[in-house]
Amino acid sequence: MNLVCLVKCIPDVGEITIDPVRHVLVRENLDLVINPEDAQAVAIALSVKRRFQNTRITVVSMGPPNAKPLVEDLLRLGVDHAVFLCDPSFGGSDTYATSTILAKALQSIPFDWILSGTHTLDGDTAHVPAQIAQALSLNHLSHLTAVDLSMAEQHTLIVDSEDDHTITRIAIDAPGILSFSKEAPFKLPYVAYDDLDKDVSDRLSVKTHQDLGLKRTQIGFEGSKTKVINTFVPTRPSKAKIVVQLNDEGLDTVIDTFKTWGYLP
Amino acid sequence: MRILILIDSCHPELTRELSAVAHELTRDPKLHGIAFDPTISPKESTLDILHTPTQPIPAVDQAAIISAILSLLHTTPFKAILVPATPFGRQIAPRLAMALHTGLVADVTQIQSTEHGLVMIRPAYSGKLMASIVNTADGPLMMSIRQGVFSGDHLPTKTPSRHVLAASVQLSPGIRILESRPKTMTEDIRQAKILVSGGGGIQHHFKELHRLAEVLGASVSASRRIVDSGIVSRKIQVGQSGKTVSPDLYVALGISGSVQHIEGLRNIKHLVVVNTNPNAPLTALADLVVEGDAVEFIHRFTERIRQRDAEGATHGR
Repeated sequence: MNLVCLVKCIPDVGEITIDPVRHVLVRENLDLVINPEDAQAVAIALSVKRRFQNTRITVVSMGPPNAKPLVEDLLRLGVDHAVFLCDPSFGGSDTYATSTILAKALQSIPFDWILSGTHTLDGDTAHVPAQIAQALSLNHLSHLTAVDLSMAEQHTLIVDSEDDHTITRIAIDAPGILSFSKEAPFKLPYVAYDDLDKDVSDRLSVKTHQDLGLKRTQIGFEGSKTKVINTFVPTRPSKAKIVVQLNDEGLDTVIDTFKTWGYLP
Repeated sequence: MRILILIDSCHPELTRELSAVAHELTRDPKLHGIAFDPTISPKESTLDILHTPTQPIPAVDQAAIISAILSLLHTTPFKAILVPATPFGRQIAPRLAMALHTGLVADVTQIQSTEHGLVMIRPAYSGKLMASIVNTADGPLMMSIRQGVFSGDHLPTKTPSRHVLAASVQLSPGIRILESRPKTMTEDIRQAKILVSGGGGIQHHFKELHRLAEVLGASVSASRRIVDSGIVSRKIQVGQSGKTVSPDLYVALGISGSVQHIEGLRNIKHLVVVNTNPNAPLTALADLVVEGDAVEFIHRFTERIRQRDAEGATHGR
């Protein structure tokens, strides 16, 4: 079985701070991490490989040069091959251009299943897996929390997709794209201490837009269909705040306010 | 101007919110809706025309849904396509944008007409930053709209004329729904309309919070500190490492309001903070601040409500 995992390396969103004067992200010294839901997709692929020995896992990731060590660590965890799409001219790609680039890379990789996360923590558009599915005419399911491999050898997977209210069990035939959500119970292990410096360069291919046969007009700012013209820090509207002391008068105000808001009859 | 609205059959009520966006886009929009369940009721709508296929298309069969939409667009061009930012809408919209070679902006919370044309504004980096985005493509303007942000309450109710799509539906054979079941609900704090939430300030009296919940008809949630000390399950934790909640009323008792806690509060209509420290970070966002001990507040407030209800009963109300 050929599995491809789509992995995005993102700034560690929890560590992001905003420059209070310039109202921009402080990007300096920001560590990259593997998007947590994408890490789950790799963890699932590794568990499939443990069960079906003939599984081959390829990771495809597009990112800046400092994402490369994170991709190398996935190879140290048991991923067979990685395609790292790294080219300054990819910079500025919106989700349309990104999906175009990834879809092009996927055309030269054999796969039965493409696994990914549903959301990324940085952009959180959830566009890219769906757009790749459209570009490659594949079925796509997202918000997946469980996968049943009992029919995997018949090229069918049974998956659970969850929204806020419903769990839907779906059978899907290969090839397809499966996007997992953070509720899925899979975790990527740490790289074993002895493997930390393991040379994996023979299993990593770095590709540029020329390698993929893409034109400049298809990628980056030029290939994008949307443009960010401005970013700003949200300001919370200053509210007409009521402040009371905890005494009878204060409680009267609380009760009257709750009545005005409609929470008490 | 013709505008197309995608209808999520699980959330048909969002059509009204999307119609409000359409009315912000243009003065007098001609509103078309497309639904994939032909049995959907067209009554109580804000639409002029409702398009449905000849037979139902399951939500998971995105290829068939895209074909149905494309068949409509083939005969009827639209200036803009609006999609609810539900799980369903957010799966269909990217595929459609890709098929139409147009730009898509996700989870829009605000729109503005500027010299750059129409600007769509959305949160990024977990809401730490807002991005203003324009569509640079020639195709229709596309966006998914965050739920609960735009209000269409003021729009007149119409009964749209029904149009059945001419193209026959080809369902994809490679994808089959086996079973669909409701989640067994251990009460989900994300669904609560009113939440009373306890933090370090009521640590040893957390159980008392249920009395307050009872008189307000609220659900109970907690800050990370309470969860980490093992008093309650992580299922009811609000914040970055817990859940993001959007109740109408959030009453924070003895919660100072770390950045991580505030991260878990979204679109809260009314925020009430009870704290001995009137300068606790959360008070900066509050509509109402009660300066005092949270445990004492629980006792005195519930007592007052009980008295009030008892008096109401004797007056025959």
